[in-house]
Amino acid sequence: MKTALLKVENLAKSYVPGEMVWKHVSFELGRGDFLYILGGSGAGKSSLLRTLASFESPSDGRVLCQGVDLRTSGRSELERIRQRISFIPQNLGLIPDLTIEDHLELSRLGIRSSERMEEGALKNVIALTGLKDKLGKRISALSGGERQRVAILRAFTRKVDLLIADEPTGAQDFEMTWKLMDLFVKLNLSGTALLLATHDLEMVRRLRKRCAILKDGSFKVEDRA
Amino acid sequence: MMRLRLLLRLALIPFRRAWGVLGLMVVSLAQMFLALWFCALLQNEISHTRQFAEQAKLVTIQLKEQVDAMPAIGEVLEGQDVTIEEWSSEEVLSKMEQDEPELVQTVRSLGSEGGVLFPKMIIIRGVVAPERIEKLKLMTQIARLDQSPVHHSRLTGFYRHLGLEIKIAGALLLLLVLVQLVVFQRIQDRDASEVVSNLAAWGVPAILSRLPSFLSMVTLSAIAGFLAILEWVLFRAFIWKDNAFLGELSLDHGLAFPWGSVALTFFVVAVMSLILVFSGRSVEE
Repeated sequence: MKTALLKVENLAKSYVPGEMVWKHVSFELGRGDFLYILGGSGAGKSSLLRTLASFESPSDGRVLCQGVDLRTSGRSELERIRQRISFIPQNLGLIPDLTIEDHLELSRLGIRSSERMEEGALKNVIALTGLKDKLGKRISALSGGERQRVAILRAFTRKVDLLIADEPTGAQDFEMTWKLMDLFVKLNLSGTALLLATHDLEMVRRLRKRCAILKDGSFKVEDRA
Repeated sequence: MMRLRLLLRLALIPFRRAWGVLGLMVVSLAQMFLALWFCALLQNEISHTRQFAEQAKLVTIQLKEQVDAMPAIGEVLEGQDVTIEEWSSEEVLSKMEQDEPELVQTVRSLGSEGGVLFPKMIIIRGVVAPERIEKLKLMTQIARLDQSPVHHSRLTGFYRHLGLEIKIAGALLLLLVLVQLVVFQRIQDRDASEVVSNLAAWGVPAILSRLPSFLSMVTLSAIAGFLAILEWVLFRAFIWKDNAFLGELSLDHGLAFPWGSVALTFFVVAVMSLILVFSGRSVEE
């Protein structure tokens, strides 16, 4: 039996009193699991992922990451958990004034060398994302698609237990989308759990992974895509 | 080294994005530092001058004969903050001439014997330690020694008030410096939040993620401090020239750079920066 890496219990979120963005969100994610979160625009996918990644507080319910309640955990415990999670937000979370290289270095700040991705593997990811010749370029000089790939690349600099990505291939062409999905699948096969938000049904159909649907504030986990 | 370079690059983001506003802020902060240190210098000088005015004495020494006692007296008063003046018999008579013309005429008519009645005098003005006065009294060449305090009540009162006003001005300037830091923190808030939230999202420890903001403040203060020191070096003679009202005593001390005040200013700035940067928690934290 797999250890629950992420356990979500009856989670609910409300920004305006009385109006729930989503509620009764409950599911478990073990090591090496893959879960799509599907939902239309404005369904609340991003707020759910931000909550699961510990960057927003839920209005109700709790998120247990490796057995630790994110809501009541201390600062140092939260930092330790975040070092085991990679999060690719929809806004990408990049600093326009810095170069790609700076981002790679910063994302490994305060991380033990044993928890960093091996240089060889990282070089492969850099080559695959097509950013090899642009490492010294500032983020502000890159296109939207390239920025999205930098955010993905950054997520691959560390060995993590869970990768949470909010529509990570939305700005990519067909070929690059599948190259990146291939990366995600390989990462998943190496034991990292994946939680991917998307509204690309074609991708869900092809990969045939477990998915959850967020619609009209309710959350339902399907066993099959 | 790489990390320090990166942290510095993050620290300089606000300067790159709002160089005009922050440039003006650096210049204004430099003027505040300069004024603050100048206040500290004046405070030092004024306390010295005030002390002198309160303790200064006028010592009048009448010599026994027409002997040259100046070297011996100078030796006794070595290291004391005094001026020594020697008056010959003729100089004493000349000074008395206006008030006592008949007496002066009588003494002059006595010829060389007049010198016995009015021998040389030595006038000492300044702060003389009591034990030095006792030493002077024991000198065989001295016939009589009188001392009286120099009453500069208006002057000492003026310096006391001036000192208080300078202290108030210094405190207000320090407050302005701190307000500038708060304003700077508000200006760099958006950039700092961007850095903190991104680094926090990457699992970077909170202290490390806030370090660039602290470095921004330190950089701002350091540039302003450098500018203020440069201005001091370039314009100190000019500034001091216009402060002759403080008297010769202050001028004697010149414009020694108040390193103690500079260190204290930067200590206060560093503490304030630490409080501004590391207090509170962001949403991500």
